[in-house]
Formats: sequence, structure tokens, C-alpha cells
Amino acid sequence: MERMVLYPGCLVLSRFHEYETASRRILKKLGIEVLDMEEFCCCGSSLVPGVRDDWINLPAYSLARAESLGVDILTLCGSCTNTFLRTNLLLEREPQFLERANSCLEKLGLRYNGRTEVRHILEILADGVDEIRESVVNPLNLKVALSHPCQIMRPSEIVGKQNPLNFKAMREIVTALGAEVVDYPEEQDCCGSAVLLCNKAMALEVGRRKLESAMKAGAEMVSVCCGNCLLLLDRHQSQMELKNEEKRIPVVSLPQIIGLALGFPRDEMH
Amino acid sequence: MGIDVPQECDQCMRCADCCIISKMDGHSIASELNELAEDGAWNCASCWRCIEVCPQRVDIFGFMMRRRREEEVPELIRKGIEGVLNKGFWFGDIQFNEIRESYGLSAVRLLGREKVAVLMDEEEGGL
Repeated sequence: MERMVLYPGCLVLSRFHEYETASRRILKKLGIEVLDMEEFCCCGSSLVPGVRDDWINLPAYSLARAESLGVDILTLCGSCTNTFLRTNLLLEREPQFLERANSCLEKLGLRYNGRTEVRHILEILADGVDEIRESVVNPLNLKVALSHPCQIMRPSEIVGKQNPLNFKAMREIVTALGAEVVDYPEEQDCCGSAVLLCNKAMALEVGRRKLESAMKAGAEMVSVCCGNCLLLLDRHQSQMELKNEEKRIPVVSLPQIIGLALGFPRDEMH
Repeated sequence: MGIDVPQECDQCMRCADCCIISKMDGHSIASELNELAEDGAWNCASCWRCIEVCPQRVDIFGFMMRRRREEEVPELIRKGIEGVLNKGFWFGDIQFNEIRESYGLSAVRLLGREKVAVLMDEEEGGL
């Protein structure tokens, strides 16, 4: 059985329990054993590098933890994924950073050799799409718009693994669940969640444009695969000035809708 | 302003054309590169579409991080980073294990201030 250590990130571990629960259940279904981080530390996201030079020691800690277990690190948010991938690349290119990180990590009984692979949940689900398709017991008779976790796809220099403009993974999975994917012009735009902390009005406007466009295209649900997208498009939706205030659209993580299609208990999936 | 504009940038504006913040009439990488924005590097969604479309392969990530250090850190981001330095966790509220338990999720133990201090050079400060 393949093993991975789950890195839910600050946001998901404290606020999006349904997303984490559904992810764990589906990983188990796909034959992946999920291990927990012994002591959790924020990855620093893309925000800490804008303030401090030693930011890289934060993600290096979690990568070292996973390496000590001999497993890949599994992420649920785009920003954590991007940060870990950037860290791996930087530590490989700049050995002095790795040396400096290890001088700190060794005081915690850890050492990092740059061997931890970073994998976002969407990548695992895409690999398992055939098994997911074959396991569907409740086909989703829904029109679903997609909002992609953009930070796992860009920039290509960091992500490397796939074409950064390849947005097929979510589409293929949602289609496999029996749902109809609805196209809309803003599908490939970032949700804007990262701006919430410095310009809330602007973030809400980015989110509003996206959701209204999806609704106009006929979507009955928006599916996401990142805690940041959930934070803006779901938790802050009630604060957006949607044209039709009566109308709201459910925003649900991809693992949750997979869970519904696979017949997992509904109360665990939402 | 003393902005260190990368010489490779030929101001083709492709970065601005694909930027969601630019669509909101906010800043864009192009406006930063053209010194049109005084206080905008934190108003970036970090989606890095601009990096993909830049024909000159400007180090936009590095540029934005340098610009951010020239600006005041927004209050909520400052609080988040203080949380990370104090306990290894972005948010102020850390009473999440009870609700995790109700979902059948295992308790999470944070790295904590002392161990985070080992990772981060306190003398560097930065906030």
C-alpha cells in the first residue's frame, strides 16, 4: 500500500473539515495509507517570502518530516503546494540555503536531503480517475462549473510536472462522476482569495464575477480543489454583492462531490 | 521609488492583460514594472499567470517579493505571520481539535514557539 503524509495546511485543518474528511476517505478507497504530521508547522505560503529571507526553513521543516518517514507529502491547498515545490527547487539550486536550513533542522533532530516529492490531492485523484469512474454508485445529475487550484499549475518552472495551462484534470474527474461540466469565461481565472487579507472588497469582487459568470452559464454548483478557493467562494459568498441576492450557488470541494457519487455517507461529505 | 525594474522587461503588457487584479482596475505586474503603483505588490493573487505569458522570462516572483518588502505589510498578513512565528500556525484561534474530533479527524499538535524559533532567525526580524 502506498503511503503519504497529509499536509492539510492551516486553513483546511482548522476550517474545512469536510474537505479533509472526504480527501482521507477517497485516498483510502484508492489504496493510499495516509500518515499524519507529528508536529504541524505552517508552510509560510507565498506571503512570508515577501517579508523574511529565512522563510524557506518553514517549508523545509515539513519536507524534512516527510522525508524522515520516507514518504511523499500530500497537500490540499494550492498555496502550500506551490510553496513546497518552490522550496524543493530553491534548495536544489542553492546548496547554501539547504545547508542553512539543515543547521536549524538538526537542532530539531531532522535533516533534509531534498528527496520529498510534493503531490496535491488533484494529482492523486487524476491518477485514480478510472477507479473513481468504476466506483460511482450515485451518478451526479448536476451542471458543475470548475474553479481550478491555479497555484498547482503555475508557474511551470516550479510545477514542472504538467503543462501549466492544462486544466483537464478536474474536468475529467467531474465528468467521470456523471456530472455535466459547464464552461464559463472566467473558469481559468484565479478565484482571488489571496487578496482577501489586504483588499477584501477587491477579493469579493473577483469572486463575485466568477460565481455570477458560472451561474449565468447554467451551473448549479461550483467545484474547487483548494482551501483558499473554499474560503473566498464559499465562506465569503454571502458578503458578495451578487446581482440576484436570493440566489446562491453551492461551492463544494472535489473530494466531497466524489464522495457523494461514490456513496459515502452524506453527512460526512458536507 | 527606487524600484529595481528588471531590464529584461520590454513593457509588452501581456502580464497586465491576463491579470485578474488588473481587470478589477487594481494594480498589475505591468503597473508595478512601470512604477505606476505605489502600494500594490501585496494586492497580488499569486496565481502567476503573468509568469507564464512573459516572453522575456522576467523573474516576476522575485520582483514582487522585493517590492513587498518595500511596502508596509498589510495588518492581517502581519498578524498571520506573527502567528506563524509564535506557534507555527497562521490563525489566532487554535481551539480546532474539538471540532476535528467531531469529524473523526485526529488532533493536530502545533510545532510551537520554541521550535519555530529554532527554524527562524529571530535577529532577522523582518516584521
